[in-house]
Amino acid sequence: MKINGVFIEDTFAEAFPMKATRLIITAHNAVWANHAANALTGFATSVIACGCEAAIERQLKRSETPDGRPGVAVLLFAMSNKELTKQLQNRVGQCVLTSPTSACYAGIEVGDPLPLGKTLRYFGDGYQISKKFGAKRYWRVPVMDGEFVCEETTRVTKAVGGGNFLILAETQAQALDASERAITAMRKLREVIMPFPGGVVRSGSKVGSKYKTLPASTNHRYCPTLKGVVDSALPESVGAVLEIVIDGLTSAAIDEATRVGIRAACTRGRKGGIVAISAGNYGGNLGPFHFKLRQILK
Amino acid sequence: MSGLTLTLADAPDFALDMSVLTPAALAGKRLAQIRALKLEQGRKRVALGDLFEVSGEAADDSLTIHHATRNLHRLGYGLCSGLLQVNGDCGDEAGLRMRGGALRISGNAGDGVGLGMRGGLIEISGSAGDFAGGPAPGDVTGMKNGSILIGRHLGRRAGERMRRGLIVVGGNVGESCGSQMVAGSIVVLGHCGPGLGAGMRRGSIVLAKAGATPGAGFTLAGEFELAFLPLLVNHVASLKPGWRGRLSALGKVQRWVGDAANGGMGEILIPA
Repeated sequence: MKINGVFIEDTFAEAFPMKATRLIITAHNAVWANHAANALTGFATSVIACGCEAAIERQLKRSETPDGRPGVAVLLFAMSNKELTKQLQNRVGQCVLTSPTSACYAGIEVGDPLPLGKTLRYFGDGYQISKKFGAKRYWRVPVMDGEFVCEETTRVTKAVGGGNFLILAETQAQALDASERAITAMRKLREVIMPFPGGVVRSGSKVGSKYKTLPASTNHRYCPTLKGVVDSALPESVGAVLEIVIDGLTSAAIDEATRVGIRAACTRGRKGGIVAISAGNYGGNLGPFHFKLRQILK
Repeated sequence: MSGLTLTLADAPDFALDMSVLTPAALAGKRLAQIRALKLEQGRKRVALGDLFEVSGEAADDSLTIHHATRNLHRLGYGLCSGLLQVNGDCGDEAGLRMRGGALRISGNAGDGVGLGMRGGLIEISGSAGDFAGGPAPGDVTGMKNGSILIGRHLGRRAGERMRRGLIVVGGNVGESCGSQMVAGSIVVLGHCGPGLGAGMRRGSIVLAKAGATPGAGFTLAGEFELAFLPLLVNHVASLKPGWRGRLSALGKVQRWVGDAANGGMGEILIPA
């Protein structure tokens, strides 16, 4: 199978079940909503060492937010409810509560509740105020610029983490250009995030290492500088590989993101230096979700 | 509307206790059984069928009462679910100890609307009397959840000792609105009588019209744009869409805190 002359390998991405929630962060204007959201989603590229994977899902219009202010939707993924709860408390407490004019609301209506304002309210030292409108409870925590408003709970949903595809290009610049095109297209989609810097990861990993303390190490078969040293998975013409990792609320959302991303990555085609599209997996034995590239791109 | 319908044949000149009539209590009963139900009239008991024409079927969760009058008391007592639609006026203690569902009254209501309410929605198109949302007989605190919407005016001591929930008044409220309030929210779209929030410990009284000056127990904290107010406005508008425009002044508000005589943690918000 080829798209614009780019070979699509007959392989699949292997993904894992995760727990996820969506937060809506609002502020006086979009700039400050993004400051809070960027801080919240900082250092959240991989659950391997960050505790969670998080990124901005999309910008929200005033008409889409609970308080009618500009806002940002953020998705957070973790391996368990317990870890997600911990990450929410730390990240919202340190990054959103602290951000001028911010407010924080649940962005998912169904699922088990996870504490949000329920724990953060104690920052109010007894001066916090509860407001219950309908079935939702909000906390008003007095802060130095007025009040931090935070919904009492958010909801957790089952999700999928670790969808991915690899862009194999002749040069680093060509791989980066294709990645940027893919990310630009994928960021228009809902229910998915690409949690790595700029949505792109260069340090694809394999399970294990020659060093016993490391759970993961560089995916040496995809490192172009090791061609001739190891049993490389790369064709002769490939000089750089970049990976796009996708976390989604549903496997269908990852399907769609993979399809849109790969098609955008192949825009410049084989003549533009894009050699092939592949995907990362562990042989299919670890993750229950398999995203077969050729099936998705049919 | 489907469901059971009771039509008052002749307006009684005596007080009737209607507390036995809720959709849940009547569900599944045959019409003959419903006609045989006894309503308390002082020391006497009268058959429902002697006063009301009964039609429809008590299968779904709705009950409609036509031609209701001020002598029908305790409508919607302990209502847990379903809709009780009252066409006309009603007497005292409508929605007493209500826990869920909706009680809609097309006319006016007497005193004690939603006393001891724990959930659900009471919507009165006209006016209502005193003590709305206050404590039920024997209780220490007033309503603990749910919403009361009053289309026109409300009497004295609305929301007295209320612990949680929402009261929205489309018109004016009488004296001592929110007195000894513990928590919850009262929104007044019209004017307020004297003694607003007297003795309140916590909770919010939100006025949609500028110009009111709270009593001596309140201190002006300043003027603020509070992020929770749009949430309140949206919630009220979800219950009564026509009121959104009347709440448009709630952008920047004066925040008066008090009552200092009782802890001073309550607030009265007035458009700046």
